[in-house]
Amino acid sequence: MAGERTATEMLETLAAQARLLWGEADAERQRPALSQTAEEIAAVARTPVPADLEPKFFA
Amino acid sequence: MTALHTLGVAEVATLVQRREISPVEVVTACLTRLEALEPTLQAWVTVDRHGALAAAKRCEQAIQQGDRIGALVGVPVGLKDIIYTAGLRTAAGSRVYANFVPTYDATVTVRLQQAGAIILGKTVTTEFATADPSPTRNPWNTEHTPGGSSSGSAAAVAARMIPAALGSQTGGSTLRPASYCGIVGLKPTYGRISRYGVIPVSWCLDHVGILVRSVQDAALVLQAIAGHDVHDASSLSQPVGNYSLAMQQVDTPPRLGVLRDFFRDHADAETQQHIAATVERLARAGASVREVPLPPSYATVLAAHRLIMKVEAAAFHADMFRTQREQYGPRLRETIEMGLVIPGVDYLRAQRLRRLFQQEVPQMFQDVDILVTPSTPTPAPHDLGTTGDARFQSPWTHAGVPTITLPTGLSQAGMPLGLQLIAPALEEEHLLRVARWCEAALNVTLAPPL
Repeated sequence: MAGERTATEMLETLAAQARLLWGEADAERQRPALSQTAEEIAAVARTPVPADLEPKFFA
Repeated sequence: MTALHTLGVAEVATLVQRREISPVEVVTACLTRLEALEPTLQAWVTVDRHGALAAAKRCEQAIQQGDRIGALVGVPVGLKDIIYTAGLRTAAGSRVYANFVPTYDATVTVRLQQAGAIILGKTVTTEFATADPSPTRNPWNTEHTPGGSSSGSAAAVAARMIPAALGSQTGGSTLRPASYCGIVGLKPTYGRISRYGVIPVSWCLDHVGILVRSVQDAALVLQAIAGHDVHDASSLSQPVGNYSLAMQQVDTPPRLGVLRDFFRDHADAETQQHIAATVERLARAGASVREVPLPPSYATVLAAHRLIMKVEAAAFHADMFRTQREQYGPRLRETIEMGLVIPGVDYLRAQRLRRLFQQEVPQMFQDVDILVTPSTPTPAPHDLGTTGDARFQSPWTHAGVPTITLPTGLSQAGMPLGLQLIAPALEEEHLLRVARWCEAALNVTLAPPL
């Protein structure tokens, strides 16, 4: 479940994707930014959202 | 007589309409000022001297012939270099767009010209209106950042090169540079100003912003460019208010809601003390002041905002990035790289949390008219390697509600500080009315020592 993902787990998921896209060296360079992004995803993931709340793209 | 380059929007338009000054004289005075200071401030990418003088002459002829003229007649303006200008290069501070010349005008360009404004040229933006700093310097101290991404627009207006400029705001890119440079910056409700012909950062978060030196000038420019646009699907169909009239209805002291918590924790001591003293002055002038708590969803606002911005920036740049990755600056490159690996479900969760915050923001106005915070956590940093901290402005961009910054004084180091006012969605008239009241009560106008 999204709410159960930790920043550490998220970082590994993002790093694996980055290695696929850019290669090992670039993924390593991106590590600090990937770590920050993983923290942001984890923060969003652990916040409850009402089941009937749809995204609102504009306005 | 006052030097023409120091006149504001309302003053220029009024004096030109009365035939007391010529638009050619105003444009010439601004160009002279611009050319004297530009080597130091680097606020402009393109100065359209020939085009501006030709437009000023046409304007002068129209007045002499008694033709119908607009509310911004003869007012020189600068456009952030992400705003399309037909036939005039729009490089977005980027090597990728270095030679891009639009074939059509942005809607805001058209509306400014229809109102009689004269486009002096294109002001410096950070690369694609994101976080890599631009070469522009702060007119108050060239060793300090002017902020970004609307760096050139803020510096040029503060330095009295022009009375008004347009910028944009996806996080804090209008209010932050305006505050750092000691001027007024307005970001209206999401969709109030068309973004057709404005190079995007993030479709859900982008706003066009206005940089001027008084609230009345902000009202005049907003009046000229606000309103629905069939070319922009996100532009609002709700009627545009009478912002000029709102400037004449500023007698009632407002009910101000002060946000502390996050805004107290992240502001430096000097900013905290300055804003507390500013709010105290407003209270002594008659405003009622009470503290307003932040809603529960505020906790994830910054994280959700950053995720949405990264993904949408990556979506816009994906094709160009694939072939021209080395042409991008380090911070934008990192933003795009992150956006390309964020899972879709997490982007959508961030969007759902944004909606939750949008639903909770109106509750903050139950007992107050306007919310206030420091515009920025600190004065402009003594660091040209950053454009500053967007955390005080971006929550309101995220919510899409209108905000304005007013200059309120100087720090010990002589750098401007500002007060941010926040209104409910669609309430620009109310925001401007309260801002004008605060401006009159504080009576602060800042001019850099140039």
